[in-house]
Amino acid sequence: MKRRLLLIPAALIAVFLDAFVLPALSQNGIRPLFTLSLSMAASAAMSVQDGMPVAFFCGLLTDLFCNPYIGLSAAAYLTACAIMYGFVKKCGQQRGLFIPFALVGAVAAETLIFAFSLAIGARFDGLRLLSATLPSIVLESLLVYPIAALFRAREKGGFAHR
Amino acid sequence: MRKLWKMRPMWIALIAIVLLIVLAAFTANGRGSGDGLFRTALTPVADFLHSVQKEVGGFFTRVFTPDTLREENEQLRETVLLQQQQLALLDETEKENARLTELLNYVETNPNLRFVTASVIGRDSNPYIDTITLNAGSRSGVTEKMAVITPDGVVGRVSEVGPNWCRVKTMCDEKMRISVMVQRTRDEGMLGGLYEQDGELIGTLLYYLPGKADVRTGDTIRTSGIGGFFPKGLYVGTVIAVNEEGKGTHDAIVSMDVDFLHLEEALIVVGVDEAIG
Repeated sequence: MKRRLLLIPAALIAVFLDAFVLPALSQNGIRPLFTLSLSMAASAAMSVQDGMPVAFFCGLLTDLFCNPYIGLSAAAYLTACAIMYGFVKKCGQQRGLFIPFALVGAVAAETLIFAFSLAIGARFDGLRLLSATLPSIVLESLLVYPIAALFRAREKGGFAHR
Repeated sequence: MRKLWKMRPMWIALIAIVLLIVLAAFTANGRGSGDGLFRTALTPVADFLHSVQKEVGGFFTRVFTPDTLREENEQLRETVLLQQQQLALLDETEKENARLTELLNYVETNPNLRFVTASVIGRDSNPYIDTITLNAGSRSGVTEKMAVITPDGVVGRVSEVGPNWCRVKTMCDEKMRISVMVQRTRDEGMLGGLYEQDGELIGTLLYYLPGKADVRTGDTIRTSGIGGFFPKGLYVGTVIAVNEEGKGTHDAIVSMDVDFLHLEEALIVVGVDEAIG
């Protein structure tokens, strides 16, 4: 229960960072989405019932603050969460695999956003994909581990060692 | 069935994803431009949150961007603006230079004529520009009925003169008449009136050629000097059609090579030192 309560301020801080602070700090368009990392970390370290509401509300808030399409980020975050949850369910909470799982989830989320943008007529920008989106995905995946560790640290025993 | 029930978080996620994509597609057509209660309610909220993001985000941008960088950015922006203006000016000057060089070359090839160069400062708004105003007048030695030309041909005749301006009746004026000759055969005639086809001005009409005149398509037409208004030998145009069927009173149609719509400079012939031809 304590961990779940922790999710609310964490989600608000992540939305604040994504919407207001990170745009000012981004270099060459490289900008990890804290909200996506938080959603995936919650799904991995806690449960999908915890991760999905976080993904839904963080995505929706991010869309309302920053994006022209409402619901797209929420859908992308939910996709990442579902993938993360699926992997964790299949392979267990092995901390060594969190980053690869998160990488797959983040790629799926960004692919969904990218495909949607192309579908509504946006121009394909390969350079941006390589120079900004891919590094952002890597950073998002790397962020999942410390966030998940933070959640697990609240619980007795921390990560499961298998 | 039990397996499906166990997978219910995934099904919920899948349904939510599909619904959210539909929502995103629904809002993708531009906020505020559509109708419907949902979008009407959503747009003000989203716009408000966007403005909040802009303001707060702007604050953090100011905080994280060093003063020197911001000043440099501002300076670069001003420099770019200045250079864009200079580039436009340079482009304009280059075009003007090309036009004036052409005029100068023409002046140099006609040493017996004395010219005043003038810029077009006014143009009649009717389709065929039958009058233009130039920025040279009596102070520059311009008087009424002086010929106005360009390297492309005769423009017209000065009809009204002010101290620093003059009005020119162009070849597009229906009543304009010039004494001309066919350069190849030296046959003389009168040029005037407009020839239109499908509402488009094709050229002017050549009249009063001698009965046995051998005028052909492609012949060059020059001023004959008769009447004294136009010096002899100025290029007028080329014959583009000969009236062999005898319809109408004209003998041939002569092209008008001067672009009256885009004419920017012209030469006023203020004196002739000796006859040319």
